[in-house]
Amino acid sequence: MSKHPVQWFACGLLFAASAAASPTPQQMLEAADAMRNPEGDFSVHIDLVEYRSGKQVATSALTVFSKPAEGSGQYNSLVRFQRPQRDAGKLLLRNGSDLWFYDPASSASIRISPQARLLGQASNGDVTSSNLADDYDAELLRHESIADAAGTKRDCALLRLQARNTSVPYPRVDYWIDESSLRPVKAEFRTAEERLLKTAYFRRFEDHLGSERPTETVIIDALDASWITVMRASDYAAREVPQSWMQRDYLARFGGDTE
Amino acid sequence: MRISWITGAVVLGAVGTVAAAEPVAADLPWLPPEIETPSEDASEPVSARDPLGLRAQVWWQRDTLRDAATSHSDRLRLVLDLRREWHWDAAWRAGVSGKLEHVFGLDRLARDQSDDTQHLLLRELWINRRLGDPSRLWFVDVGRINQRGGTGSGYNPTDYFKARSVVSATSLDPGALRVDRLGTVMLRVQGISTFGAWSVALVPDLSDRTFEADADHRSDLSLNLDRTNAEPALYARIAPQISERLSLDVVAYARSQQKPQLGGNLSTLINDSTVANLEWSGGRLEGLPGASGERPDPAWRNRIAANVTWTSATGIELTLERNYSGDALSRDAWRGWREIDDSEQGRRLRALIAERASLQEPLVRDGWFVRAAWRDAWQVRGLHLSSFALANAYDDSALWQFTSEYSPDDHWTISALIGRYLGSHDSEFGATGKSGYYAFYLTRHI
Repeated sequence: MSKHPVQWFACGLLFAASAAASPTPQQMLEAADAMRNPEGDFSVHIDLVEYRSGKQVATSALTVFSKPAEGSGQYNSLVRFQRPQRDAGKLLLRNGSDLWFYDPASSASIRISPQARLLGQASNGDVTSSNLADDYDAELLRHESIADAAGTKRDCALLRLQARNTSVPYPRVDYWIDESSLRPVKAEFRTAEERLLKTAYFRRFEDHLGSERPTETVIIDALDASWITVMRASDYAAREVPQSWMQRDYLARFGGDTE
Repeated sequence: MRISWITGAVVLGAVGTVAAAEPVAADLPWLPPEIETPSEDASEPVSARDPLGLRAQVWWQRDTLRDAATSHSDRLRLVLDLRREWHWDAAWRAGVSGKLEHVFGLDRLARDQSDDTQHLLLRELWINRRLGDPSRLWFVDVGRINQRGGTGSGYNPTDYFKARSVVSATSLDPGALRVDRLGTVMLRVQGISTFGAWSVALVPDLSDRTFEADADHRSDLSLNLDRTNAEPALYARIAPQISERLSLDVVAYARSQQKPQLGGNLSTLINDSTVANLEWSGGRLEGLPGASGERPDPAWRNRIAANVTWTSATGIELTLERNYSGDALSRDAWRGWREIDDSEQGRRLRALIAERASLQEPLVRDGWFVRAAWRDAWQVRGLHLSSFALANAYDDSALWQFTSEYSPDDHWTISALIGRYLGSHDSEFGATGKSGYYAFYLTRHI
């Protein structure tokens, strides 16, 4: 049975309204960012557990103090190493691409590059807060049903993120976002030549600081898939992070728990 | 019930191993289990988990000698090293850093105890008061403080407090020397605001003794104030917040009986993997004497260290640094010293080399420093490798050292160190009495 032209018109209107209501790829990315990063100043405890071929081989713990950077939409972060003991008290300061490392043994703050490795498999950018929407342009590649970290099939939008500048560690990211909840599900981080560097799964969604957030990120190395790091975020707390903390000369003065 | 986080994680790790065999969705790789207990552990006060800041070390060291009669010299070194800070509240902090060591000579079967050396070194002892509000902070420090400075890796022209500060060096790595050295007694005031930081340090004269580099320091249990506080001094530094990718600080230093020195440090991020640093100090300085004994007149002389550090995707850091010290020996002056055949001149040259080493200043004007470091080498957590070479640009001689450290857990570190002096017999590093050194040492973190 053929439809009446009025019915076709009504269907067209409905489709247009639905298209207008559905978020754009960039809005989906912003929504996923907002789920990963609380608004305003906050601190969070992060545990990193590293596995090789299914066996746990190393653990470390950090506290991250983050503050939205004025004007950039990004965060500045101060990371305090807590474990292992040999790293206790070391600090990492990140202001955009400006990174400083402080070792209490030498009482010196030295500039390091974003590529410098301090945390094993996890990059400095993995543990500090960052909004992908500020550094990447998102486009929709396709709709895809994939298994989330629990093995449950999710209808996702697969976004291709293209870096807007060279200051980001990953020129391209493939990002799967659950279309119904806008939860981040999976990300593949790639070089400009499309070579896969690592894969991340987001899981264990819990309510913290007024929103549902993924509290565990599972990072899988692309070259050695048996090398896996689980990054667990806990103890989210809204707290003032003074601007003075976000400069290299303050690192030697940081009081840790007495702050 | 509180479960130890480590125990919990180990158990979970074991569970994860089992879970690896369980079927998962076809397009999903094996993922480790969720971490169950970190929040409970994180609620513990961090201070309760902090170590005492104490390290006990046992070293076995061998120097290989150029002297044909005695091919090597062995030593056993026992070290107790303390670094500790106390943060009572946001306003008050205190810190102490020191080292007690005893070195046993192992050369003869019937060991002469006069070969033994012992040191009790008080590197730092300070108290700090914090004032002001978070937007404009003030800090007042009093005590013996290791005030370091400079962006150089192998040479730090603006690190004015490095002179004579190293008493007992176990590694010749410039990075290690910056850590294991005596602080200077001072009153220091620092201000930090959103615009940047500034500091002023006042150093009192606390010793009537004049430091003698060739004196007997085998048993040194004093405060060594003749090394650090023999003359009054004033130090000032300003570090404005300029931009995200560029940092600058300007320093000034004046010490009694010396002309004031000015200096600066620039540091910039070139790209995602490369950092460049420039360190400069200038002022009126005397030059070093030539072989004839004639000493160049005081003049404005510059000291510079410029380096680039590149980090590979695997985390290997490579640093290349060019060093220049305008008061050191020129190419011609060093050639003159290399041609001496008089024993008195030889004695003077050895004294000059010892004096420059004590000041941590280069012997010749032009030099190179290269360094490679790999943290968690081959993705083995706790395995750190590093190597450096310090080269004389005029005679192509060099000091090379390689260090390997492995920490299987939080409590133990096992290390090996090897060094070689390379060059012809009349070169800076080829003329040393030692041709090389080895060390193995075990550290217990307490």
